[in-house]
Amino acid sequence: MLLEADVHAYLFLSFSLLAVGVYGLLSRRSVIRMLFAVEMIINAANLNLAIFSAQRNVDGEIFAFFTIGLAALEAAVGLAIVIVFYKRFGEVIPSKIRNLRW
Amino acid sequence: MGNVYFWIIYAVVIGSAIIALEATSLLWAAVSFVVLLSEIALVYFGLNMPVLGGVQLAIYAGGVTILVLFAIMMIGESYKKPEGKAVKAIVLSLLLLIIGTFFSFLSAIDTLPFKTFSTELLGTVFVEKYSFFTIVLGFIVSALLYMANAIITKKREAK
Amino acid sequence: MEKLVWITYLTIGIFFLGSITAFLIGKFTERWNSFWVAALTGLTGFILTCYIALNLGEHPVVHKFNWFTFGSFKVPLGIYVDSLAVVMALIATGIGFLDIVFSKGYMEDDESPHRYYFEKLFFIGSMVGLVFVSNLVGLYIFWEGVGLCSYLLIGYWYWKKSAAEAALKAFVMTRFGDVFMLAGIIVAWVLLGTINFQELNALALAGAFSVKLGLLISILIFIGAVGKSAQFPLFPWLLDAMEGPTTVSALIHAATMVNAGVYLVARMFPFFDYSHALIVVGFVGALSAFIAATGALAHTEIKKILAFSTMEHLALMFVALGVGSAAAGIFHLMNHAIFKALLFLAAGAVIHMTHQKDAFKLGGLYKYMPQTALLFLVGILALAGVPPFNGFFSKDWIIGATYAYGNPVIFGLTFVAAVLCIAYGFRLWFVVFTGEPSEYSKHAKEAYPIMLIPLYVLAVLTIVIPFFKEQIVHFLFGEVHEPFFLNLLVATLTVMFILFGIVFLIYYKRVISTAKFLAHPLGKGINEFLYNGWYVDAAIKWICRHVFYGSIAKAIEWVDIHVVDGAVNGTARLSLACWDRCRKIQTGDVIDYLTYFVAGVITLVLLILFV
Repeated sequence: MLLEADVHAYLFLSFSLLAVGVYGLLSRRSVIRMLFAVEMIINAANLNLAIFSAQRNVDGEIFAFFTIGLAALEAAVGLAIVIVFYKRFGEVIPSKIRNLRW
Repeated sequence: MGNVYFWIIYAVVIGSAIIALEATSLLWAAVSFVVLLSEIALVYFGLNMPVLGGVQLAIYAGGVTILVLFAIMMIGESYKKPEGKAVKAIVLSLLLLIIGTFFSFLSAIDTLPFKTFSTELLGTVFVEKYSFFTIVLGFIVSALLYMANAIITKKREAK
Repeated sequence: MEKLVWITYLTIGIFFLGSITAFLIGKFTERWNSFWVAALTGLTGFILTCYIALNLGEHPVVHKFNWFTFGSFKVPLGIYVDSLAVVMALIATGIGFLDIVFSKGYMEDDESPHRYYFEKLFFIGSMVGLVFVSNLVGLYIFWEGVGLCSYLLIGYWYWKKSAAEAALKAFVMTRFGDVFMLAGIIVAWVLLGTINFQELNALALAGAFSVKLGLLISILIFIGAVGKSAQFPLFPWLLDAMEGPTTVSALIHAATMVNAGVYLVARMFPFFDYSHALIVVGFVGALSAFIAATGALAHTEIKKILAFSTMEHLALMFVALGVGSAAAGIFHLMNHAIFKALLFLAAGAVIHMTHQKDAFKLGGLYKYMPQTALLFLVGILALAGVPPFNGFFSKDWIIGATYAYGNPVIFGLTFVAAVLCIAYGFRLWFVVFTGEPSEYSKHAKEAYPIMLIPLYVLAVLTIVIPFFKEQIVHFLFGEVHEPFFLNLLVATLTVMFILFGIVFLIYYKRVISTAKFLAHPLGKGINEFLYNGWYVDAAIKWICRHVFYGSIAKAIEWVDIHVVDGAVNGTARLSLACWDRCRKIQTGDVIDYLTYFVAGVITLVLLILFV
């Protein structure tokens, strides 16, 4: 096998990706970067599904398909929102738009 | 703990992820994001999941990236590095990493040998177990797409 | 028997039906057409009542049904027609009919006779229902109907501020008594389990409940009767009610409203007797009679003098009931209704022809309206209790019964009040009809025939009634013992004659002048004291303003503002203060929300793993 590794190593990869994603989600101010971060988090979860699926049965892999499909969809909707956002406000920095507060 | 290839891939994945977030140019960030997604497809291939890897490449590295590039094209490229609340984010993400790793080692996850599933098995299980779920999901996807379309084509309100 | 039940319901219903018909016909066709409908209705009602009276045998007409039911709680209703009820109904319908006829002349300048006749027929109908109904709940319904119609009719000329205020005063003051009456009804219903008059009286005769409970119920109900019949201390509304048309006053004072209180006490007479409440009735009556008689002596308006005399005669009825002689009270009620209707309608003729209510601005009217003057004189003689007019028989009976009862206070007040009738009656007559004609009198003409005919009918009745005294009393109460004291009769007549002489000298011959008496401060004070009805009105106002409004209402207002509103506003202010501090979390920044979200996820994971 090409990538012979312990399951803990794979989980470490997955958690690292999750941590980077969360860091990006919380620190970036641009909506596009935040979408990147969301995709990283989804990929981390997907990786988890694939790893456990490789050790046990095929169901996890099938779920990974669904996740990929939904993530792509989410990216499409999110980017649509980004464009509408830009048309409306002229920028893509959500922190400057504080309509939804007291 | 695994061979050197795994750690190379690990370094590429995390590195490209960080570059995708930290790069000043949005375009280079998108390129780095494509690298990240392709490397994850490589991980799937390494796990003997060629179909999943192909789908990852096709949908993520292909479709989503094209969408992102179009979005960047429409809103214009930005070179400004946006400042953020980095300290809070780093603390929280490191906390997540430590907790996750700690518990993944602490809890008794079996290190079973990796299996190889044939594509026939994949297809059989998919059709027998998840066909109804796919139909329901299809409706949900259609509804979501319709909503996305509605949001985009909505006329801007008169000020 | 079954036939009489339906005729009784028809008698009640025809007035309400007639009132609506009169209104609609007056509204959509010629307005005075409503008069013909009203007169026809009144006549039909009177004939039906006469039919009931003639066909009433030994047994009363009884019919019962359930008005409505809540589970096991039933509200009964029904009719009970005995001789007492039918006599009351005869008074109400008969005098009401004559009053309707008289109104054709009196209200000739009126703009809305259909409204007038609607309210009038409704009034008479409510009174007929009140006397025919068999229990307290039904009585209360019609009682309030009577109160409503009195409000509407007193305030008939609603554009006059004084009339509107008088209507409100009458409504509020009678309602003050009604609240107590309602409480009495509820107490009786809850604790005695029945509201039927006959059952209540039967319980009282059997002694089935304690005297204290009976006293409580009786006093509560009697306060309602006091308010309705204008006794001390709830009488000021009766004087202000003179703001309405005079025909309305005649209807209120003679035929319908004020009689209701006397009727109620007479109807529950065994109950009051058992409860020892009659002594209270007697004292209240005697005091009211004295106040009213002295007040009438000092007042100067024709109608208010008559109003005081109404109050006095009602008080005499209450005294008669209080000393245990219900027959004398009801017989006097009947006589009073006749002569007071005569007096009020004659006064209405005078006021209509002269447009002047103040007696002392009139004078010498005998020359201009001789027939009215003579009819008025008949009324005054009956009012004063001069034989052979009907007032003499019942009033003398009341004085005799009071004397036989033996209470010196009640007897003294009643005697003085009764003999004072002749003084104020003839004072009024002399002032209005004799002496030098004033400028108001000079334009007066004799009243129209349609106004005189009812007066003649009533005047004839005052003379005819005494001949049938035995039959009437027997019809009402069976065998009744009438106390008779020859020396008392002689004394009464002597005192009356002396009083007449004094009044004759002062107001006809004018050899004695009251100017000197009135000029003296003490005399002026006494005159004003009596003129204002012993300042009871002012006292009620003072109590309302300073006790009810000044302290109780203010205290409740303070509690409402500072405690109730304070609690409500305090809750709002507290949550607002909390919210003001908490809302700082909500910055509106998506990234802040995401931070909370991730921190929450971590906390949850840690909680699940460690706890």
